Amino acid sequence: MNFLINIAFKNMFRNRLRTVVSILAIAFAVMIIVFTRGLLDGMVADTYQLYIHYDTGHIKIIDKEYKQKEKLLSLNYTVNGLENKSLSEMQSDLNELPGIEMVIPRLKFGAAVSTEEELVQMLAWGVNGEKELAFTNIGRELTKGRMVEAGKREVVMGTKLLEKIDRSVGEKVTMVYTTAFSSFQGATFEIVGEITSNLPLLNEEAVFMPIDTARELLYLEGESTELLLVGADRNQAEKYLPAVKNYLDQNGGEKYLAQSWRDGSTFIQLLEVSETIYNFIYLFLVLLASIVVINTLVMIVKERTQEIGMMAALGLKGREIMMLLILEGSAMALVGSFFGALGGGLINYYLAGVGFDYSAAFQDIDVLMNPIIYPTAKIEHMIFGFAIGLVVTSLTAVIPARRAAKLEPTEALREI
Amino acid sequence: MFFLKMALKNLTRHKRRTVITALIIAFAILIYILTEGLMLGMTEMSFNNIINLESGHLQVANQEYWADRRELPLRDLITPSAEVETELEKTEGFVALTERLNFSVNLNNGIDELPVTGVGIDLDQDSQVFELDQYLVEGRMPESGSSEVIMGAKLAELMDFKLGDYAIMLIRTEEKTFNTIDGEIVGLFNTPHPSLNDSNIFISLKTAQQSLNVENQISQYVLRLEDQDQAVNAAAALSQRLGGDLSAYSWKDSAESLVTMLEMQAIETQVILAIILTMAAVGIVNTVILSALERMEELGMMKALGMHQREIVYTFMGEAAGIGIIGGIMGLIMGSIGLLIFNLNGIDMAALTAGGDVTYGFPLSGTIYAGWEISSFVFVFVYGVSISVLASIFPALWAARKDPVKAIYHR
Repeated sequence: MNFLINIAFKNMFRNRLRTVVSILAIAFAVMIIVFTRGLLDGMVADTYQLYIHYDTGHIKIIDKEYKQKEKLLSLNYTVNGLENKSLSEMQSDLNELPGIEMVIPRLKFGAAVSTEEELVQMLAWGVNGEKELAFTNIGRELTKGRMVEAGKREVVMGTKLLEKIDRSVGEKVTMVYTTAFSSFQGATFEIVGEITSNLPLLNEEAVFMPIDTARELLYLEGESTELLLVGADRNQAEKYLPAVKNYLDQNGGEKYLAQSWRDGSTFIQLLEVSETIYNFIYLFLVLLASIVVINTLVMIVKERTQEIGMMAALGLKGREIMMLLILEGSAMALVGSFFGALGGGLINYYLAGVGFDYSAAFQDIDVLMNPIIYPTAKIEHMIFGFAIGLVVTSLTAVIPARRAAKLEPTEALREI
Repeated sequence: MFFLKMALKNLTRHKRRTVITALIIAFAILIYILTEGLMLGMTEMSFNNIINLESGHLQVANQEYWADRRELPLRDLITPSAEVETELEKTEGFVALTERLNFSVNLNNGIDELPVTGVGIDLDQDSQVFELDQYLVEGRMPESGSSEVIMGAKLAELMDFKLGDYAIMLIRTEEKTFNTIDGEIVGLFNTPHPSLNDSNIFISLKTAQQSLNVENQISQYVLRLEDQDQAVNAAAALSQRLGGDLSAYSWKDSAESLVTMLEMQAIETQVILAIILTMAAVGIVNTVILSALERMEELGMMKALGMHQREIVYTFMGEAAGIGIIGGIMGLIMGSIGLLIFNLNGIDMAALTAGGDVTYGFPLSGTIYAGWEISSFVFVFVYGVSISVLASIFPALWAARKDPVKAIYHR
């Protein structure tokens, strides 16, 4: 085997130009793969995280009826405890379950601020400020002031929303809303913080207030519209889900629906499907590149027919001849994949700092997605690109190698 | 001619290699044609939806209003006048015009409330500009001056409304006071424009004007022209003629974000094409080098017999062009078959979005069909062939520059 590797390696230098072109083809394909994967991963990972932070948590508990009425921000299907347990008891019980590190209640309702000209609609979230800071990245986006504190009548909202209602941090704002008993009321809040984010939801739709204030105003003492459960790792969510469901069933919580983040949004499912599709695209790209290698190997076989015949006559077995040619293909694949992976990694490394701005195109899309996409520069993408380049090309090298192995020594030697 | 003949003959020397290299080009073209066709189909249908259901061909509105139109304000409205209307009717290709008043509504079913867009429509004129009445799935259009409303079937389902129910519409009048309209639901529609189904409620213009206390003012005039291509020029001309605060906006202005999105999609398609064609170019370079290596003695002999360097390069370029043309034709045939299959079956938008409500920002729903455009076929074919010819130049030069003596003694 060592002997074969040695010959294969030496053969690579017999015609350098030819070798370089084949290597280039593979390097280019691998580079594109590493780059695409980095870009896609940047988009997907970011989007998953946004959904987990601002929509689904790792596991989301809501009323079964609420799922259909979520868009209405209905207050009639809340999470309000179990048969003989209040919501706070339910929360601490859930927190005890294996793998659950945090239980985050949110109370979402529609509110509006009346300005000189129009009624600005917004999405009010009653939240526990400390928990939100610990769970989401909102602390980083909070450019002015601080997060809301329990018990106070204060709100935090996005830059664009503040602009719309013509207020700034430190001023007061009166919001109108409909309570759980369908009465139309208003309350005045102090604006204590400003969020600057690329995400339209945070920038121009949502307004955060302490959950106890929201409960008091809406007459929803001890209730929330949803409970988000958070574990250490999002990929473990399915593992802990049965225990949560079990707990709900045993305590008369049949009216609740617990679902993992993967089922929380159709957009996430869509992204998962597209990740699979992209794997096929990668494969296809490498296949295209390996056509170049096949061409080169076919030519090598033709060029060295006599040589192969001689080697066969001297006792090299068909299998070994095949091995030799595959090794030659693999050697080119190895070098090409290596440089391709390196190049792709460098591009990603550079672009991870710059990002692609899609905000103009994303204006009307109703999904949680950061409009500026930063590719991720992970070693894992480079390894993936390198591996797929090496494996696929080596496998396709079998086609010309088999032809060489089938040559009869006598025939091959006679050929001119 | 001699070189072409020779190039052609050379192509047949390694049939398998020629076909395999051509295949890369064919794939590039196939993928381009399919994505382009799909995009074209989606674009066309999206624009049709916008024109027929949302914006008409031309909208005339106050400039201030237009800037804030998404907020549905009640200021900077237009007071209709015969003077303006005669001016509008003079527009080239004018077919019909209607008046619309948009306002924000909180729709209430007694339990929940949902912010939606209310649209006051001139029931006598509206159907000449818009196609809303064709998409009624239940009931009828409201009557002029009544408080009858129609809404999307999907919205009605969400709010638990049925035909004949009364929907409470909470509005804020021009003087900032709250008012309600008890709208009797007389019709439900299901259009191919998803946001219309989700969040629009239509009522007679007169009722809307009365309830909002805006006298006879409207948000905009909407015009239908004979052809959608006239709109952009007509908008410019009309804006000039109208002067003052009024401006005309074509459907392209209304679909601004969609247009930007499509532009970005087009760039993406181009990038994908470029990537695959670059691979094809490397393939061509490889093929030319292999052919040259194989024919080194032959080339040396030809040079010794008096063939010029230039002529050898032409021969190789001819060979590459041949590969490009073969690949191009294969790609076009495969692409056409692919598009044909798309169009015979249609693609369910729901399948593209895994059954979800995500529309990628396209005002589209239901089954979509791909579009055909000869110019994109020609473009991609020429592009593919040019790339293969260009890619062959350098390796051909490399081969042609070899010293004939050394080339003959190549081994």
